Amino acid sequence: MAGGHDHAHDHAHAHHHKESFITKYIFSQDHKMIAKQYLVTAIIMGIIGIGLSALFRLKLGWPDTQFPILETLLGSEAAPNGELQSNWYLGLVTMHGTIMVFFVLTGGLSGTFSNLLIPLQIGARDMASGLLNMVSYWLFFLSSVIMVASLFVETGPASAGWTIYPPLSALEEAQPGSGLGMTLWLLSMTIFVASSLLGGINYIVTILNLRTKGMKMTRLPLTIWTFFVTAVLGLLSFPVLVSAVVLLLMDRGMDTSFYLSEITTSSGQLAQTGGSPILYEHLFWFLGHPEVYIVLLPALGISSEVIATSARKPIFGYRAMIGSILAIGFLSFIVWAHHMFVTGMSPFLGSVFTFTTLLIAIPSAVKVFNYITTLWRGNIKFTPAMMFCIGMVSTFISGGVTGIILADSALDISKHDTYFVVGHFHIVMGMSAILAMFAGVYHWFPKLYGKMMNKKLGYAHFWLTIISGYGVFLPMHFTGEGGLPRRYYENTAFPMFDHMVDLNELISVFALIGVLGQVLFFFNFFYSAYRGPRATKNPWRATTLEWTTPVDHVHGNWPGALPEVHRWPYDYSKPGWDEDFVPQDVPLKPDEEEH
Amino acid sequence: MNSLLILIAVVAGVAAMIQLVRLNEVTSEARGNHSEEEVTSDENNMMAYGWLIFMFLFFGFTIVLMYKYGYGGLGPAATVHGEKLDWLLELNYWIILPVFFITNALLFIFSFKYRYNKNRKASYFSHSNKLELIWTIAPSVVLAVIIFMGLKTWINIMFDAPKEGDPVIVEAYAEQFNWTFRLSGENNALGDSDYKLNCGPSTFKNSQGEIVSIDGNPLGVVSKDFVLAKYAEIDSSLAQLNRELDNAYSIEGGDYFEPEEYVQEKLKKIETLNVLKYRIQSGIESKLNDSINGMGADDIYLSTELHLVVNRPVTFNFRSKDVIHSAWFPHFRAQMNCVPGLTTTFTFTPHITTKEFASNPEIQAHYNNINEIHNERLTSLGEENEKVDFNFVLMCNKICGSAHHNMQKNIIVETEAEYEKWYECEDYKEKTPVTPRLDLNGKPLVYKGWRADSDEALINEVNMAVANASITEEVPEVEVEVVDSIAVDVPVMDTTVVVENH
Ligand code: HEM
Ligand SMILES: [Cu+2]
Ligand SMILES: [Cu+2]
Repeated sequence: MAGGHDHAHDHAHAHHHKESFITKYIFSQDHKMIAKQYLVTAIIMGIIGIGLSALFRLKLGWPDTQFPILETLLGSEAAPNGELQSNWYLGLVTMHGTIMVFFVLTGGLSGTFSNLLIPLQIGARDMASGLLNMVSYWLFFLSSVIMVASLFVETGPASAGWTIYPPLSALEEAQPGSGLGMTLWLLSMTIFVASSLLGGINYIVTILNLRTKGMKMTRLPLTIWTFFVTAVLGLLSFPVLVSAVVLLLMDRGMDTSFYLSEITTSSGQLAQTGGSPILYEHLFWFLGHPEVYIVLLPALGISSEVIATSARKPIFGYRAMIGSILAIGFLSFIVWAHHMFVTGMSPFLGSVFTFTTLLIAIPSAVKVFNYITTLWRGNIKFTPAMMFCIGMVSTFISGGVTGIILADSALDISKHDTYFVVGHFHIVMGMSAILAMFAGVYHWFPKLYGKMMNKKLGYAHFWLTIISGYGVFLPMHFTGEGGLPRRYYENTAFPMFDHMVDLNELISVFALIGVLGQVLFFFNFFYSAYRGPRATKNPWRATTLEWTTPVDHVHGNWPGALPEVHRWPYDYSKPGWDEDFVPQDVPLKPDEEEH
Repeated sequence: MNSLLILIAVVAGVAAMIQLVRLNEVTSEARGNHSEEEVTSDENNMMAYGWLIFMFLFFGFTIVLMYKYGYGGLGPAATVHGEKLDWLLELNYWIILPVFFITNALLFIFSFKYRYNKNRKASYFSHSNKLELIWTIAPSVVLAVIIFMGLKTWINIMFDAPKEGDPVIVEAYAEQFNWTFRLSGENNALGDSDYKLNCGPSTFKNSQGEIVSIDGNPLGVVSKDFVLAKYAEIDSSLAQLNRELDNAYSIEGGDYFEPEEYVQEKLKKIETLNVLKYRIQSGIESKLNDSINGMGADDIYLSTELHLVVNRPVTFNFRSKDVIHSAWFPHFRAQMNCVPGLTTTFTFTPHITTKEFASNPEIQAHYNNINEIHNERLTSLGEENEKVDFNFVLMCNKICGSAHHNMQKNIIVETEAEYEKWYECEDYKEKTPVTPRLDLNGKPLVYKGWRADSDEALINEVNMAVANASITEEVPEVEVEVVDSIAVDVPVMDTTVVVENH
């Protein structure tokens, strides 16, 4: 379909009636269907991931209470008499982190919105390769299934934290979860990476080659810019994770010693010497840090789009926004060792990484100020999507400022691996990305399903989410200030943490409210997909090309010729026009300046 | 407060459910018109006021948290560098908190103020180079200050501090799920250690030809006798494995009875043991002349709490036996990972004694509170109440397995006189499993923990193994002459064990 547009159009029509159920709904190569598949998979993974956090929060909030529901859900191995066992606590935390970061906010967020929006917003009939796109989704699906299946392994799922540092993850003797559970984790992640690489290549090629006439790079909506940089980051960093994983697999199964050295286990000394776990940490975080931005950039792109549309005002500083996206993308590759200040790596390296890390604060600050200026003298319509985006800017600020403390190698000595970190990254990455993902769903639901979601439920869902989100993660900074380490199954072994009991209970109460609040979303989503009121073509009165396509999906996106682009995507409230928006495919008036 | 919150949670949940049911009706009613697309001005205003209310709740919550829990409970830093860190942290908070409040407030206030009004048009204000420049340069300047102050402190802690004031050397050895300390004794130098010599209970012929037993060499300290002890352990394991393989071999069939994988496992184990033994011979035994090995003679092992002298810098050497751990001293604001295969270090100077620290009124009030909560919990569990005293602690801060949440050791900072008293009175030796400590005359000071095994049969068996193993016989039994150029007056002993003659 990369060929001439008219040809593609004919092609689409020629095959329209031959589609069977299987090729239309299951092995579909249509980007819109694939986007929906990603979204639904991510929602199911989200239910599991967030559900797990509710389960282990029960233990932290009420350490001495027995919860029979835990035994019912997890089995008597994991929670005999309703008391969660410590290795299972670690297993749940690990699975929660892995699922949320990779499956919901990487696969789910990028997979859904890159697939949906790239062809629609650049004016293309489909992705450059529909086949690769389909394979990418099914690999994602397969890796999700394997990851979830590992929860049912008798010895428990991987339990070494989502960062799976060896030797803990390499030695079966070190903990039960490092057996079959870890093998499945590694297998699943390898397939996951294959999926994101196929997806990423496709996104990049499509954006570079399939833009419609007039769609210059400087006329791309910011969503597309963020998806583009995200795909590049993934392409450069995920292979490094695969190498890390392959070396780990060899250490586990073939007695190599990439990461293992001078270890004595319960069954005696290992012969391996000369390896270093620090090598693994470098490799992991070379992916791990860009991964944070792989999660965050699409969130920023979605917010830019929704904020401009809802404020009826051009996004402020379009070029500065592109500049900061590129700067963040570049810098994210040279900051990874800020996760390793106290590993024993050379303190000189620590100085370098403190410097580069704090530099990222500059483009991030630029983005925040630009968002705020976009609101200034706007005319804001609080659609549910807009509510989530304003919430997202707030969490990006609140989580960003504590990053300044953690980026400082000296201060990180007393903050590393405490709950302060858990609070920080949940707000800046977890909440920001989740809020933006919800915003995306509310905003583009009419494009996905041709229906509208319920607004009132959307508002209720928003307030419950932001209140409980801050309610959970703000207090964590304070338990962290009190020295409380993360990944602790209980805090009662140290009487010095006893004064935190009510704070921990408060966190758990908010966590439960937050989790229950998501029921509103799930209901709204599935209900509206089937029975929601029918959407009109351009319900938010937006300028971008996806709103020029028909409400009912057609193969090839536009029934007639492809639209031609004449202006940038942010002509909201432009002087000289009656309407407060001018779509991108409307030609300039004779004496009109572009912007 | 918490039951109230739970109540709120329940009410919110119920309200949400009611909403759900109502929605069902609303949506079916509304189907057909576009009510979901248009935000009515009532709704818009409601959301706008929502942001204002949210702002007050959010800031209020933050301030209440800061007021009530900002103290964190750790109290002032108990080390010299910790005070600098706390100062730096406070400086950072003075910068980021205003940013946090102001930018969030602007976001919420603009949202409120510029809510939709159909009589107004948004301004078409799309860029301003001047503004962009301002908010690139302003954060850059602030960050320059933060980076400069941060790096200054970091360099001070990591590069300067270890070179100042002749620190005492202490080893902290981490394993699943315990810490062991090793004091470096009179010579302030730790004896060499090697993971290959890590060994459990062993009975062996020492370098003087006597049969002795030891409880083990848990830290893998290098000495001639520990090498012999390890050989004995390896040999008896090899003998055991070979016996098992022999028994599992059927002459007639020419096959093993045991499942293939067990046999393979045992063969692999034998190979590993042989590799270890070879490496000990070639890598350790041959270097035993080095003076450094003598440094361990006066080392003291502590499996109980650690005592430190106030105002005396201490350099920790961290090692790990199995997986990564992290030594986290919250009150000292010190943390360093313990990585297998790597020795990491951290230097700090505790500048207040435990007693002084505990008598700080803030800490006292805090611990009264903790005692109350702690005993309330114990009572509710039907356990006996106890008094919780303040202590500096060491805990693990890197996920390391199922008991990661419970790896603790107390650390007592005291005056020099108190420390001397503790050091001399040998109290700690009661609790110390292995204490190969010699006085300055080379006489073993401590006998406890060293166990002379009287199990005749075992000794004979091991003896046999030692005698039979050809490799061991190559071990030269001559006294090794050691030249110690560093600490001349420290006698270098090649044996530190208590001997039982036969
Ligand atoms: C209701 C929502 C959530 C709650 C209550 C929650 C709570 C928690 C808690 C208590 C931990 C364990 C901290 C520890 O012991 O180290 C944790 C870990 C983690 N969470 Fe969440 N979380 C939530 C949502 C999210 C989201 C949206 C993300 C997406 C980024 C996320 C990512 C992670 C990660 C990466 C970890 C670290 C796992 C590890 O230590 O290996 N969580 N979460
Ligand atoms: Cu990072
Ligand atoms: Cu640990």
